[in-house]
Amino acid sequence: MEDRDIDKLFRDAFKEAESNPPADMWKRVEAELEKEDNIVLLPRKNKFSFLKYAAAVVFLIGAGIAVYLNQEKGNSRLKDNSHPKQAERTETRPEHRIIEHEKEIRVAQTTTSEEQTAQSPKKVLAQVAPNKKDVTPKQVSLQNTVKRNTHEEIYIPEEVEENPSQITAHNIEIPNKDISNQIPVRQVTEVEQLKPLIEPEEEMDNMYVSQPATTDNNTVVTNILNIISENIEIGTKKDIKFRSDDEGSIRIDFINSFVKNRLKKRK
Amino acid sequence: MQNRKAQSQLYHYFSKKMHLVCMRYAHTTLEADDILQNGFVKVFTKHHLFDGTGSLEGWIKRIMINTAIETHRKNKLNHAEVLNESQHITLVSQLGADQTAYKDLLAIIQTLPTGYRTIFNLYAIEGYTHKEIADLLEISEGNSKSQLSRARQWLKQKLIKLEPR
Repeated sequence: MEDRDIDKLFRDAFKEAESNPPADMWKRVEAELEKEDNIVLLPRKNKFSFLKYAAAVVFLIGAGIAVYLNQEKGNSRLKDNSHPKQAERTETRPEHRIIEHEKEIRVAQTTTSEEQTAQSPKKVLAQVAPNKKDVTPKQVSLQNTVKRNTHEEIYIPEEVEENPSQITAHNIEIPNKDISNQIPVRQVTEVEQLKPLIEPEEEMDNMYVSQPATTDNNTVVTNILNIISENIEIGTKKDIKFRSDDEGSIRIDFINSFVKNRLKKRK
Repeated sequence: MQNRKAQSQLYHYFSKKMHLVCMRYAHTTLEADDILQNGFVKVFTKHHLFDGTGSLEGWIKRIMINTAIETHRKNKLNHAEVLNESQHITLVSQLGADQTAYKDLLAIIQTLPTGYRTIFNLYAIEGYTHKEIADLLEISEGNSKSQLSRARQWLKQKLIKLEPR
């Protein structure tokens, strides 16, 4: 018997053949269909609710990554420049003030000069002139130096903290006093020591805020979490740190974890 | 459901034919009944997937066949099972009586191991190619061919036994 014959024999035999299914088969199918009809609605609901949560999760993760990346950028910038910037600030700010003061002083001088310099220098000259006659040239030179000093000191606005109006007052008085009591001039212009523009602790803190805080604001919970993360981490570096603030909210820092992963993938 | 009546009509129109198809793929009548039931449930719940091309009968048949294959996959243990040779087939030879001739052949087919039976059904009776069978059963084409030839061997032996002495 050939293969084809076998195939044909069976094919032909089954061509129009029928067999009777069990009598209750339709009822079984029907019952199954009823079940399906009831079930069909529920999975749809489930599907939608599932999608909702999935979307929420995806959104949260995305937002988290975005925030993290931004933070990372900011951190790297800060790490690079934080200290120099600080230094710059302390230096640059005074300059601005100095310039302002100088301007004010100049303005004041110009304004006053119109009013008084016209008078006072004349007085000075008038008063000095008689002195000059009596005093030795050394003294004159002294006077000059003193004068210079006063001028210099006036022009050093770092030390000047009072209002420009006061400064002008000094400015105007100094030459007068200068002439009357030649030596004590210094006391007038000598102002309090240079103060840092940033009031120590509090403001310093403000400026440091954006830097990753190295202070350990740790509570029991975060300590435990830190210990766990340190022990779990396979790598040598700590990738995750936990901190908490005074209000009790916990903060999780991911450190370089994403960067690491990228590198790993590339390899 | 208002279309339950229509479903009933469709079922009654095809049930006999499809039951035989299931019988060919199944090892026992019980198994065939299960395949038929699940197959029809699929037909009625996935009717929207019928694209209208080709005959409805062919589409339903394909669903039955797929359901049968799924069932076999679920009961994979049965795949390895080879019928005990000693299990004698008690058949009253009715070759020649046309109306019931297929019953003998059906009985023989049902004795085949599931793998052989499926492939012989698909190739010899349904007319699938070896490529299609390989895709459907997730086996290689060569595997399909070798199993088909072994199925034929098996059937030959059984047929010889059936020959009127």
